Amino acid sequence: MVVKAPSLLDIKSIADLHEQLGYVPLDRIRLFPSPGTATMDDLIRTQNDSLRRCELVDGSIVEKEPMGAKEALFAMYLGGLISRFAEEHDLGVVLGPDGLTKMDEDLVRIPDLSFVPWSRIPNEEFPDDAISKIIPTLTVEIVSRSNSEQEIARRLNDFFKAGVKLVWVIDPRKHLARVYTSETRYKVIDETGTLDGGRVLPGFKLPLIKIFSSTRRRPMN
Amino acid sequence: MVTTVEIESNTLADLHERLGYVPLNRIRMHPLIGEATEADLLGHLAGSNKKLYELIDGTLVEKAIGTRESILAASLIIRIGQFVEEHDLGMLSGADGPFRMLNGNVRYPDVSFIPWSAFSDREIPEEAIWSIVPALAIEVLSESNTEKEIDRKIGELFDLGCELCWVIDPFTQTAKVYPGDMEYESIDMNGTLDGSTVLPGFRLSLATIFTKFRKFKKPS
Repeated sequence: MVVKAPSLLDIKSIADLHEQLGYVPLDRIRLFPSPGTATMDDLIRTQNDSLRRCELVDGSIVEKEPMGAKEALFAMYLGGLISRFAEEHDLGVVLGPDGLTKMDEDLVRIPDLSFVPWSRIPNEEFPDDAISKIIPTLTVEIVSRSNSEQEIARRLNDFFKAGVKLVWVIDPRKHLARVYTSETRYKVIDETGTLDGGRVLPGFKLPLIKIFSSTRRRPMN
Repeated sequence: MVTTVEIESNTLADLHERLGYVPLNRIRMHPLIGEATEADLLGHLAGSNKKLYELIDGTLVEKAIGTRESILAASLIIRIGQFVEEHDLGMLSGADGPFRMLNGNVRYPDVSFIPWSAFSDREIPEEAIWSIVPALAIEVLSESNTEKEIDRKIGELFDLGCELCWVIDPFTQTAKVYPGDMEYESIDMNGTLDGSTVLPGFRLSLATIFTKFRKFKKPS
């Protein structure tokens, strides 16, 4: 599903805004500042006060669904593995689920995990910004219950348009993952499959089941 | 006590609830939510593509209108109009007469009866939006009207000083008579709309209004 480029002028009613945002539940869309007018500064101010992660989408402040403890565990487990691999192979850095990244004008997203290669980081040092302006090459989303297909489609559109090369959408309830190499091209992997880093993390291979079984203790050999 | 944090965590869901859960496509994004004014409302009323937007909590909300509702409202205006003229009681307004509520909202009742006593010296006000109090307000339900939104509208009308409200439901061919905003009486095709103390002596059977029309089935 291709989402057309949003323009504030196209948005006549709240129904249009709702569609544009990917039918995010209304209780996640902030009223202040007025939808359509929020800036990056507003986002930073909101984020400072808020217990929830907030994104800036087409000038509206939209809360990200809070991650449950299990999802947080999965994110940490996967993030840790990618982080270690990236360090060992001198590939880049990993941002956790609170990393704000500017994808476009008035568009700031917080992927659940992002991998940013050194090749995109100026002076080989990750800058000290509240909102990163460096586009990751891999993002990971751990789907929450309130994430509709349209919302996910909108996020994919935002990521790929900004220059992300690979997106892993992980469903913690169905124990599946969808590997996107473009907004419309994806492969479904189940527990017998493997997450492959492709050209973004060359050599990274992780059996999907390891993510979901990370909740269980394994004897150390 | 409402803290700043509470206000700032207000979401579209809260707005939606305040507006009575009306369909989202009736809530305008421009002007910005909370910043719409009477001038914006009048701009649309006078515009080449005339649109009726009510001003609710600084937001423009499209008034639900339709031919069927309009026909029913016209039918009511004819009969009430006859009575009002005969007894020289006051004036009737149709669905495009905006009234200012006490809280600053601006509403368009489908039909309003304004007794002469509400005018100073029987003079029709110059302004586009009236602060005058209709004694009787009638709403003919459209498909996209929600119960909550109508309840709120009726509440505001009564706060203003309205004495009697009728809500006509073409889909069930019933009506609700509100002598005050906290209570109503349901009447069906066998029932009668009574002018009470607002239009003393006025009686209209619902059957008279609905008989001409085929039953309006509410699409599921």
